[in-house]
Amino acid sequence: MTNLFAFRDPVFVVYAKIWLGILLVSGALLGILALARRGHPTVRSALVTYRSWWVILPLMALPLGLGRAATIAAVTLLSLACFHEFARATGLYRDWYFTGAVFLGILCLNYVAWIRWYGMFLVLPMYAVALLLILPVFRNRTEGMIQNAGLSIMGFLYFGWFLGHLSYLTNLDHALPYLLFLTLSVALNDVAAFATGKLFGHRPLASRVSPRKTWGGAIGCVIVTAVVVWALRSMLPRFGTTQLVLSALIVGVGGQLGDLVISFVKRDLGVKDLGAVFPGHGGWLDRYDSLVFVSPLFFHMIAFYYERGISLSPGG
Amino acid sequence: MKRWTYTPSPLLDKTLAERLTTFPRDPTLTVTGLRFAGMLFLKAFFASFFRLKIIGRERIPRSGPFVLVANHASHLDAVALACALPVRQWHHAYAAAAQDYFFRGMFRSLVAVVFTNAMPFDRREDPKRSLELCADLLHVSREALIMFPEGTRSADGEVHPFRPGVGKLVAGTTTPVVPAYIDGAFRAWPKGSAIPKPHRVRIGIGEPRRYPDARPSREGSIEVADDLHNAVLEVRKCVLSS
Repeated sequence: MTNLFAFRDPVFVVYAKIWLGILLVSGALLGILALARRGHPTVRSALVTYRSWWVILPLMALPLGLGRAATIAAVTLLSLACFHEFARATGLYRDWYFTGAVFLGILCLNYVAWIRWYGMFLVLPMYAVALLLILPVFRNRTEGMIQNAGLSIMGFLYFGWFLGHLSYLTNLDHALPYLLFLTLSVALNDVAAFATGKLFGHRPLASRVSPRKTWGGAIGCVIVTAVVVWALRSMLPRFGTTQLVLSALIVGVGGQLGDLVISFVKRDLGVKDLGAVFPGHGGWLDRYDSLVFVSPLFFHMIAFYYERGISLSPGG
Repeated sequence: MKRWTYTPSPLLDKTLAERLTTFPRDPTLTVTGLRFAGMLFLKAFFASFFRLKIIGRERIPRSGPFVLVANHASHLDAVALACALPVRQWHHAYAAAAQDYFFRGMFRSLVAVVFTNAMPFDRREDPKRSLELCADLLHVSREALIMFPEGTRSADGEVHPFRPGVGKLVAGTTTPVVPAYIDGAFRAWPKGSAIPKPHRVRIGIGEPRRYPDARPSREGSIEVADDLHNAVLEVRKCVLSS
């Protein structure tokens, strides 16, 4: 991903057209539904959610179109926003030492991705955990420190390191098509999970974590995602059948698992949404929960097949 | 085994716009960090662009609650006064800002909250409630307050009579009130002007005053407000003669 402006890249143009097409068609369908069932609460909430997509989409497309630096900056901001939201929901945000240390860790991680230091990218979590564990020692404090250190470690690893793989993905060959694929397929997977969950199945998947999720819905979602991946195969360079199948599983299963992970966090905290950034969606984490889980799996799948000679040294 | 207890932010389900207008706020590292960085930048900008000079800075109390009152003729005033405060007081001094102006729209609110640590003052609908919030800030939270008792920016640059609200806040208390006069801000960026000009700005800080014997009635409040008005005019004399 070396081109400064990717807006003219043929793959970018195709994805932009797909996104626009999906938004316009779904908008038209929703419009017809809204006219037919005026005032119906489900249709009204669907309209609110739909309107937010017109904000979310440019937010994702713009950095990708602007190039590598903008993409890494956007991923950094997204990681910070996700962690900040998690910290606000858990109460960790009141401890500025831990939140500050995690912010610092996220900035360092994305800087390491920027200078292409793969070795440090892989071991940085160790340094971050070490820093978070010695903080109570330096502050000479014990009360509540296991909780704060534990939440910070989880926050750094999950929202910083996991999402940071998107930043490192910009260093690989054909990064733009991969990133465009991820954003589209994960978003469609979310919509598919919502739709199939409503339509199919009775057997609950994890009744305490998310009572509405069913096995039938989950399997239906994986099938839909597999079809999406198959439809996008011509825009996934180097991918053979194995990689396509793995991509479908990573996005289809991983996306739903990411959703469930945030669901259990929310249930334990006793909150409905983690924020109120996007009307109809919730906060950053409510929107990007799937992407957090999928990013490292997708990255390492590509690294395993195509980047085995990746250097561990800076600039590699 | 001790169970973990989570205390989420009380503003978790509020949008950013709602969070900015809610007061008292729920301080976060992000806003505090942004304010710190923003204030460092503004301090350098005011020092170079407006050649900001502060006379009598040592008269500002180092700790505890106080009210900083000044004349108001420009948007630069609140930031200029914040620049006069020591770094550690940036996050503990709140500028009472007109809710109907500074908290209209997300961008304005964000700038007001981040740079001047503004508290929304509802001067139109419910000024009584806003004064109660100010009183809590001073006497319960023991923070500092920056106020412009004229109530709005002066259109001619002159110091107009003070409204009694400030008197109501401090009458019968030992909370120090520091009078200040801002000179040059009106010429640098007057009401109705789109962009600021590089004019010299000076701030004079007067001796703190206390009103433990003043009655907290309307008459007492007016007396305190008048006294503070005169105090600001005295500081003005000193600034103009320096």
